[in-house]
Amino acid sequence: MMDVLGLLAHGFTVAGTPQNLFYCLVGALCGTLIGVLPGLGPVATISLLLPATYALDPTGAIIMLAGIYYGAQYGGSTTAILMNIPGESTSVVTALDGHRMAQQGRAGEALAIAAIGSFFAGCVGSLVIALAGPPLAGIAQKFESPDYFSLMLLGLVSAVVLANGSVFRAIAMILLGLLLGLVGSDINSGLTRMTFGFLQLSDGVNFVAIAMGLFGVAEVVSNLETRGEKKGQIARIGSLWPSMKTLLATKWAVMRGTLMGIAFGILPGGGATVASFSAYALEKKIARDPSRFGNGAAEGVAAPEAANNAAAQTSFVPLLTLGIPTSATMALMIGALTLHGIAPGPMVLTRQPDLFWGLIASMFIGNLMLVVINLPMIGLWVKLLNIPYRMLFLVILVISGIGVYSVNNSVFDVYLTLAFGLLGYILRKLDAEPAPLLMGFVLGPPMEENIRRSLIISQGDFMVFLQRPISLTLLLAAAALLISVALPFIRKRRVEVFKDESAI
Amino acid sequence: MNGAFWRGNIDFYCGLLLLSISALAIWTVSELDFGTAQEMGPAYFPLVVAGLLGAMSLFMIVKGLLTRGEAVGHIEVRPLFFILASFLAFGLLVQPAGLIIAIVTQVALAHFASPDTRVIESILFALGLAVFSAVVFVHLLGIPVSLFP
Repeated sequence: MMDVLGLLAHGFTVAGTPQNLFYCLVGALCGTLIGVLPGLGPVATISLLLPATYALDPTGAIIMLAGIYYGAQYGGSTTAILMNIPGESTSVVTALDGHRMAQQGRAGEALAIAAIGSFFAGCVGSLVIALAGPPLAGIAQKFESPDYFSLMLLGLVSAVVLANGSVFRAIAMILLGLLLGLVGSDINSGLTRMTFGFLQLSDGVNFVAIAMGLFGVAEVVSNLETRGEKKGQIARIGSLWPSMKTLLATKWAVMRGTLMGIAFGILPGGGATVASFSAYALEKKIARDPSRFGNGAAEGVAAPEAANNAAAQTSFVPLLTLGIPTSATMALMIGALTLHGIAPGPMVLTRQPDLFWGLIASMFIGNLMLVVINLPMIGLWVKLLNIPYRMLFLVILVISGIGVYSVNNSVFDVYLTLAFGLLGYILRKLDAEPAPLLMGFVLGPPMEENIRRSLIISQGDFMVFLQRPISLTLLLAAAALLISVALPFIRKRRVEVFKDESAI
Repeated sequence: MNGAFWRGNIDFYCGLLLLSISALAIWTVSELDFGTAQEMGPAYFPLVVAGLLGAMSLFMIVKGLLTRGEAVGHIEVRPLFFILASFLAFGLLVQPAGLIIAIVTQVALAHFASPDTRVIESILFALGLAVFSAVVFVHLLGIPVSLFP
């Protein structure tokens, strides 16, 4: 415990340099901005900003990108409460009671509860990373190739189980991602694979091009297609001070939401969206008078907002300790670290302690900044709500183009983004969400490497994956998860959880 | 399928798309060494993944043929065409014509992607974004691209 405090203190000296404070602030501002703006999510924004982080040092880059992710959780609630339009998928349920509160003239109160709940959850979530990180990384260091392979398999399987929509398609998307990840040179033989003679592909498909194409360009086209901009009345904010009575009433809801968020953040595939849905469902279930929900119950704002922010922080645990992305956003973080030559995994803690502890410390600082950004400055963000998409998409488009070009100064990458934009659009039309593809893409090369090494050690015997206890446990967990989706009652539950989300 | 012209459904087309991708992958790695489980060649893992993907896509195609399924949603040509065209124009122009012309052309084409855009706004955004990119990407980040032809 003392160790952790000492290391955390060191983290604050890293995060507290003027430079890193600045990146943290930029991340928090960007996150709030995209959270407030509907039609621009964290995945698209982080893809857009990846090229810019190339010029920063890795610690500054990851501090900024993390700030965007958890900042978006704050900003998303503003639009949900004031306009009944969720700015992010994670604040869909916040709109239910948050907007009712706004209609009752309690918008300020709802905003304050959301921000306070998020702040509390964010701090607890960051503390969880600090406490759980080192022991988990210690366990991970005992892992050998077969264990790693099984762990990645488990990660992908749980991502599929908790993903939105058809399990079958999600698995297909992961396979497609794995395949795309294998394009380029084979490390063992040095031969190039699946490059179709393009020299530019010999180092693999550019990660930025895939991310920007699938999530930037394709989303712009999809958004433009759904015509008629959602224009809502912006509710008046009123007093930002919640009454003591409301604050005390939401105390336990915030706690429960935080715990829910921590659990879902650490679990692969869960992430902030599932956490907020589950937290809302729990509050409604245990409430003495469930009919209050949907009619302006403050707990209905506090719990999901705490949950989504806690999950946004703790999803960094598997990323930093095991090197496993739990969502598309975390796959982007892996991409960002890889661009800087850092392999995410247990080694980050020992080889890059500045990055690990600096990031955690920056989360405390960033959450504090976000409360200030979101409460006293709320008027500014409300003005931004009026920015129409017809201007926004031009900005997204231009920054995608020049951004992807700037990574390698390569026109080829621009065309690649175009191709992935088209692919992403078609996949969406065919009801195949491309988010699992990105996770497969990131895990393709390490999975091949680990299965190769495992089978060299075992002399070609596939039983090696079942003989090692760690690997066997992980595989059994993966199998249990897969079987569980096949069971009808869980299947029904999944549909329920994601029913409202598709509305965005 | 009763009598009317069969338009297909999302399962069928999704399967078809993934099948062609996996077939392409299998074809292009088939000339490489497969190796053995103990000593995997460069083709081993890609072939396994592409094989699984191919099997799944066949299943989707069969499912699409046998069941009614959900029809493919309406595809609007206008945003798709102009967004892709604007991106293509940027790629074609950025090196020969310089960044400013490339971005202005990109925005000009993107303008037609939506009926909501307004000419004055788009002109202002084209110029603003060109200047912004010149300052941020060329001046601050120092990417080697000329601003003018």
